[in-house]
Amino acid sequence: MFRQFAGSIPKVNSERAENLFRLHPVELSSLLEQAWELRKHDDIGDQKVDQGHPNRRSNLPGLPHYLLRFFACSEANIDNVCPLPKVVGATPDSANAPPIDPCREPRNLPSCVTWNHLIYAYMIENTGIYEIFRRVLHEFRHGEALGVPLDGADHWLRNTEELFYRQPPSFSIASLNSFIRPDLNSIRCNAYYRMFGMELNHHKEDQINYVKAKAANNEFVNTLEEFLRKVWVGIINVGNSSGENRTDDAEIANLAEKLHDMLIARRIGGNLAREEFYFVSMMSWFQLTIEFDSPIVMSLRAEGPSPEERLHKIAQRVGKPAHALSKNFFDMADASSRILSQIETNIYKNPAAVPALYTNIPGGPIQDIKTIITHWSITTGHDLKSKKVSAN
Amino acid sequence: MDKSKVNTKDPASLETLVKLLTDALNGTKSNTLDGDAQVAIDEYIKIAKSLRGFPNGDASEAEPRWKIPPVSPRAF
Repeated sequence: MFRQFAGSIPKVNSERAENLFRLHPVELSSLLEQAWELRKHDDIGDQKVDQGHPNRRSNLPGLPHYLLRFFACSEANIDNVCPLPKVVGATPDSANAPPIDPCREPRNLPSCVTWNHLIYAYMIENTGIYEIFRRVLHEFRHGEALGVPLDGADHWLRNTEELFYRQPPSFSIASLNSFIRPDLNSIRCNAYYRMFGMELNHHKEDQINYVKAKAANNEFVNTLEEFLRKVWVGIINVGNSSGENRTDDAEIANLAEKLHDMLIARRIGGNLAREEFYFVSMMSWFQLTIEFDSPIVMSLRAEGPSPEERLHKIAQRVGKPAHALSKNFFDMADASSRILSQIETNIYKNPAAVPALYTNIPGGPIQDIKTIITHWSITTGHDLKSKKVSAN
Repeated sequence: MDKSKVNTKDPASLETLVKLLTDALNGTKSNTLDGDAQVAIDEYIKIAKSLRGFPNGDASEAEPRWKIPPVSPRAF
């Protein structure tokens, strides 16, 4: 979410990002609360969608709006973020009557905000960025081995520590820790495992213990890889004017539906929605931090031409290596988020919709599909562009 | 383009045939989609725009849709 707040997708807006880093932590927290309150919460035409669908991730309320209006820009954001009100007659004005009597205040806020899919958080975290910045904070908070923070880095350190390395305040949408699940690292690993059947590549090294749920999508990786292989066949055949075309739309539709079913199964009843919201927000904060020569990057003398170069330099400063393939994880994080989000709408269960995946239409999914295939192949060593070899 | 619909007696259809042959020779087959596939493309564009954080989803727009509070002068 923080890259959205900063207007930094796809290209970083460093001025806004620096302003964001200098806000008070409670202002940042209120932005998150408001994003949750303005989340997309719509049916599709006459078709009612269940909790878990990208249009209705959760029914859980965030902080009431009459509390959020104490924070700057909350009123302006209702007008700006979702220009069209959800309910006819519930104009932004009527939705935000003066706080004379909150008891009678309408609660029909507009709904339009979406956030990245959990796969985004998984990809970014696999670079090692969260643990690297834990070391950064540790060094700055325990001495001056890394020097003293430059102007602006002091704000970043405070905000990062407040938002992501301590217990969030009670009743916040981000307050996931409790007596039941005290460790944030474990909560993230548990969510990744349930949704993707995958662990972080550094979870053993960092000794993260977590509960491995029995209901987990252990078939996710195989199904996704098979799906990508089949779509790749479509990509290389779509230009054929003659000869054999091995594209199998029905098979792609079948695999897309399998992916949809397993992902949505983990979201029934709004499961994992808050976790996803908080973790993708957390990782977007860290990605935003290294997308430009931000104050903390300059404090660490880690200036560089790209996010991965900056991350590697910071990693060297604190003695905690970043993943060697960090560039690949950064490059496919957004793309995989968009593709999985659309798969979760189940639009590709219809074979007639499948050509959208491999036909070269500007703005269509093909570029993201190609990005994922390329970087997934590099990070996993599974060549998705070659035919699957099976033993007879 | 559906090659089966080319009618050699119809000038418009012949144009289609010429386009098909030209594309095939140049390797520039034009890609157009109809119906459900085009709906899927449109929906994908909506998802991508929604995740960008600009009013119309266009990152070239001057102002992102989120207003962020002004920074206190004491923060500098």
